[in-house]
Amino acid sequence: MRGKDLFFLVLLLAVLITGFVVAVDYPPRARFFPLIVISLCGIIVLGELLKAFLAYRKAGGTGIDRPATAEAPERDQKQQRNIDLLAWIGGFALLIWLLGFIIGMPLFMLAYVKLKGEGWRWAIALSATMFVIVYGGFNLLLNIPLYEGLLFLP
Amino acid sequence: MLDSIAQGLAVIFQPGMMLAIFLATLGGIIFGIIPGLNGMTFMAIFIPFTFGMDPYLAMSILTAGYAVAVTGGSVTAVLVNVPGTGPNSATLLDGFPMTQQGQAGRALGAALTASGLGGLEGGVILALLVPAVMPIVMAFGSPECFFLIVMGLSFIAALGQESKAKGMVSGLLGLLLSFVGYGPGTGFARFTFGSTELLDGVKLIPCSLAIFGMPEMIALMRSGRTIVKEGTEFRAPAADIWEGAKDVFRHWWLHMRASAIGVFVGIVPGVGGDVAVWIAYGHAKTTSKHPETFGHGNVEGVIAPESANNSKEGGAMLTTLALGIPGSGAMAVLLGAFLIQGIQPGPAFLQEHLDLAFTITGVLILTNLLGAAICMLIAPTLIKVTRIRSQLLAPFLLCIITLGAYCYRNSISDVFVMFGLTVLGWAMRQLGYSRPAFFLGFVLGGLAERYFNISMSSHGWKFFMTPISLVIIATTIISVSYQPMMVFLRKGKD
Repeated sequence: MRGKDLFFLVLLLAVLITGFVVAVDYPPRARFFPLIVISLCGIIVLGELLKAFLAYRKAGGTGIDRPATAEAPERDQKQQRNIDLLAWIGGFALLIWLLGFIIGMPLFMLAYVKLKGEGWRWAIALSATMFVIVYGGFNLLLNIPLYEGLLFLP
Repeated sequence: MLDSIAQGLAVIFQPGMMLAIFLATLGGIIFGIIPGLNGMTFMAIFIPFTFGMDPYLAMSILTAGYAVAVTGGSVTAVLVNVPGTGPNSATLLDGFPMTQQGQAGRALGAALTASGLGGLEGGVILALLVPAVMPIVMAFGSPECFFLIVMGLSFIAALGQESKAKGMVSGLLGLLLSFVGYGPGTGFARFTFGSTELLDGVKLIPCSLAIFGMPEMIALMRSGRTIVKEGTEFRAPAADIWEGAKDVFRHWWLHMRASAIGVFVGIVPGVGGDVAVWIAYGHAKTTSKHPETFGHGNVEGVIAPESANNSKEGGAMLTTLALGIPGSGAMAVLLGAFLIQGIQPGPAFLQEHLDLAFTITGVLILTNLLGAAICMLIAPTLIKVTRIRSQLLAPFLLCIITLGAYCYRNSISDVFVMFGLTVLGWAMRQLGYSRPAFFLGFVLGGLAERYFNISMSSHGWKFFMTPISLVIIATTIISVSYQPMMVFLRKGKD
């Protein structure tokens, strides 16, 4: 079992325990289904964790796969790519929250396309297309009241 | 009955509807051609935009785009050895070797004709079976509906890709998420942790986008390259395509058997299209006069899986529409789309909306034929979509997905719920947890609780003591225990 799997299972177990503690205080009909589901899920997660632990013991403490040191540069590169991705998606969410859809989305398109190595022509064309879709299509044509952004809210 | 058929089919031939079906078919083909995206992603992304539409139009758009995605997927499978969608994976075994041998047009013609006709046969069987199941489903009350949902939930483990345990955990997590917000019948807010945005529960659209759409888009962003290698040539002359189409008629008996396999596998909930194509491929190989040529460019190896992967939709639709049991992850998404339209598939659906059932059947047949024809005409042009660089395609998809999450209720909190759930969707994708099982649990969880509460109120604890309920319980137990029992018996013999 990989370390990532193990981490996910432990995290899941913590969530399930929290859910159980919270649900116990609900009225009988409201807690009936959640408690059954949490208990079943908890049993399976515990079983999987136990299996991982036994495999770990059997392999003499090496049951959890760790990436070899020779792969370290590749791992670093992967990690860098993940951080980069997280920053882009986080940045996108922040832009939408602060500036709203009509400004935030074309701005994100422009920044992403340009900073990922494309020319200005593609960056401007795509952000203009996005502006037309968001403002022209959704706001004017479909008459959807789009979120204006925290900075522009009255 | 005849009135409903006439009404249902008449809706399809209105000019606005025809245009919408045509555009959705084109969209579905493009989603099928782009590896990583599929019919289910098409539905997940477009459900928000169908909110508020006429249910006939909304369901026709979603059915058209979904049904035809596998047809588009066969184009990339044959021409560039990349299955556009999961069920196209068997097609490339013989389709791509044919391309390498200079028979791309023939392989494409065979794949697309088999797809179109397979979809037609699946649709016809669906139309014939809908009236047959009507008397049975009329006898269904809330206890029977509850046990049907339990039966649907019992297939969660079967949807697990890597392991049954992961499938179960995924499904149970989906169930748990469905309990967030006010409980049905109790009015008690659960797992909201003080957030007013969650009082109404997690909505289907942000959830489907976070679990299916966003992780695929992130994977595309992460890859940082084009879907297929630059410089790849795509050629398929018209004469060769016609030759491939004739191959399907030369092997008509194989095509019919493969279509029947597809429909049957489609009816069985939790098995899915990926299994149907491999059963059909295996069947074609074992019954062929030249099994040794399979994997080296035998046209039978293209016809069988392509017939099965389109015909299976007819079978899968039957259980979804008539019983409310989604046979696959995609059908769970479709079920979600119905619920958003305020329509609940299941026993009452055929009584109240029989015409809509026939509209969907008609759309299924029409789009399969239309999709095959479009692909034959413009496949080599359409396939250039795979050359779009991810740095251009991914941000565009991210914006469309975000707009989709927002437009359902014009609520920015739905967008942030989607971003939050994306973390779970991405983790599940990376660690091999079953996202269809999760979504199946999420869709059916609320319904199960509602029917359970109604049954308990009206019948008490003995609500399961009705003949149909007992039959469903027995069927569920048999279907769940059949495979482990067979494994156990086989081990005993060895």
